[in-house]
Amino acid sequence: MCENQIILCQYPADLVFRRSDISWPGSPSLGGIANIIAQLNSELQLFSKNALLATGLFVSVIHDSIEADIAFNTSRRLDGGKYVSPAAFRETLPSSPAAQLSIALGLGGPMVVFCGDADGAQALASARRWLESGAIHMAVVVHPRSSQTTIMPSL
Amino acid sequence: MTLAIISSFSAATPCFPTLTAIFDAWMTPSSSSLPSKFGPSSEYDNHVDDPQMFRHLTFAAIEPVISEVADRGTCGFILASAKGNIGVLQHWLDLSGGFARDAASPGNPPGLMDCAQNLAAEFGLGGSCAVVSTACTSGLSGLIEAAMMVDAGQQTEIVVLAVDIASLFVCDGFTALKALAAQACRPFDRHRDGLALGSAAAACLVQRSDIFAGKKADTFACTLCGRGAAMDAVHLTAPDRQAGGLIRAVEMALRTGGLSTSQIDAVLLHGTGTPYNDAMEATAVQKIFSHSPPLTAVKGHIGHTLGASGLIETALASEILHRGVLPPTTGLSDSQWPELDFVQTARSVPSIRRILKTSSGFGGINAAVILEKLKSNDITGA
Repeated sequence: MCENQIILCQYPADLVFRRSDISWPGSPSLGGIANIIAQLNSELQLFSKNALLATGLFVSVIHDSIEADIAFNTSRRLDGGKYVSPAAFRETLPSSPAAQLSIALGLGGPMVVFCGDADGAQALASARRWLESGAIHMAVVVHPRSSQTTIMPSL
Repeated sequence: MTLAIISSFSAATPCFPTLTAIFDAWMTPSSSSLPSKFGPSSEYDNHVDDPQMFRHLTFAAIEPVISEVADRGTCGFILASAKGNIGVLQHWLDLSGGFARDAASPGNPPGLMDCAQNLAAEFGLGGSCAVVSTACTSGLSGLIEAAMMVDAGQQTEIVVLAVDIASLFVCDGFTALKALAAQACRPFDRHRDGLALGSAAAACLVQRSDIFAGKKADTFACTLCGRGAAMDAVHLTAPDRQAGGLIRAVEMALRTGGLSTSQIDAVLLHGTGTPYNDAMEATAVQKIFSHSPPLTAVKGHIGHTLGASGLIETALASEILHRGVLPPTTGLSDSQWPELDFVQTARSVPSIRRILKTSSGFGGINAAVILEKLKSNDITGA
């Protein structure tokens, strides 16, 4: 049974969700979402499919979708646009990694993505509002690990 | 009980400077502004990838709403957008990739939060500032978040701005996905073949009800009496053909509003004109409602305005409640679902009280809100 529960998943603040070989000066190191999926999978395996379909997903991103934007822009600028990539385009949304998480984990509740939310406070506050409104009973919050202490939910 | 009132809406597109102008033209489809894929004579060609278009539309949408704010110093701000100022982003991308003619250093990439903070500062909004980005449901998501913040007592007023520009970057992407219409956007039509892109900005002011109650008698407003959101959890770009996510979103909106389907007087659908989206929405309507309420859609008129679509269409839904008239489903002439009650010529609905607005987006994100009309003298205060 899951009554008003928040599952927190932090990712390193220097991790960017998607894999890419393109970077810019001062860019963070690159990574994927496989680790996040693996971490959450182990925490969510206790819950039924129906419980997951009613679970909300609240995600903070720091860098919007800039690395995917670079990849897609490169594909559309090279050789007169002969190689415009639909696969790259669908990644050019800040919500794309969250959507990948929802698909991989079977989360079917509300999803809200906050951009520039460096310590995850907005995502966590949103999850609490949704829980306290009674619309959902479980929320997964994914946010960068900041240098400051993470705000822990106290429902 | 909801405390949040949407006391002011505003919107602008490249062709129509006000919400009233957009709605009036929607009522007379012959003056449709439908953009046709950046054709050589398209008005959009003059603006595409121009960073000033973002500011032009933003200011046109936000200024009427800002004037209604009771206290700017504490008023919050939510920017809802899929890509933000794509013109600025495009220039940065070309600089960083070596595709731009000038050799300047690209510097830090432009971020949506930077954009939001700059706008909040420019308009003197001193409350909390957030960026909500959930693809084409961004506008509705931002609106729902604002209402929940007011209901939770975290803000007394919030300005929500939803804006996106139909840039060549986006056009190339939808072309690669083969999602653009060959000629015109025809939502729910048997011969529909894709979407038409549009640019827009929409803004609204969400206030605590006691602030709104102090306004002069008979001032029109809406409550967001039902709110819901749900993911398909199926595919990144294709909708769930069983409409599972949209159905859960609408059911959540009905549940949070304490409403039954018989209390919904009309539905303003997402209606992109793509074969799969429209089929998914038709499936949802069939499964949710025992009898089809009147249905309409506006993207045949203003195009798909991406992250702005949810809010601009909610603003148009408020006009439907205000005027008591349902505009036609622009572009629809031969419905694939004749059993559903699509509005094909403007219909007078003087007793309309509630309207359901839905949005769906990439990643299988769905959102639904139920607007209910009220006047300032209907409220006694929070």
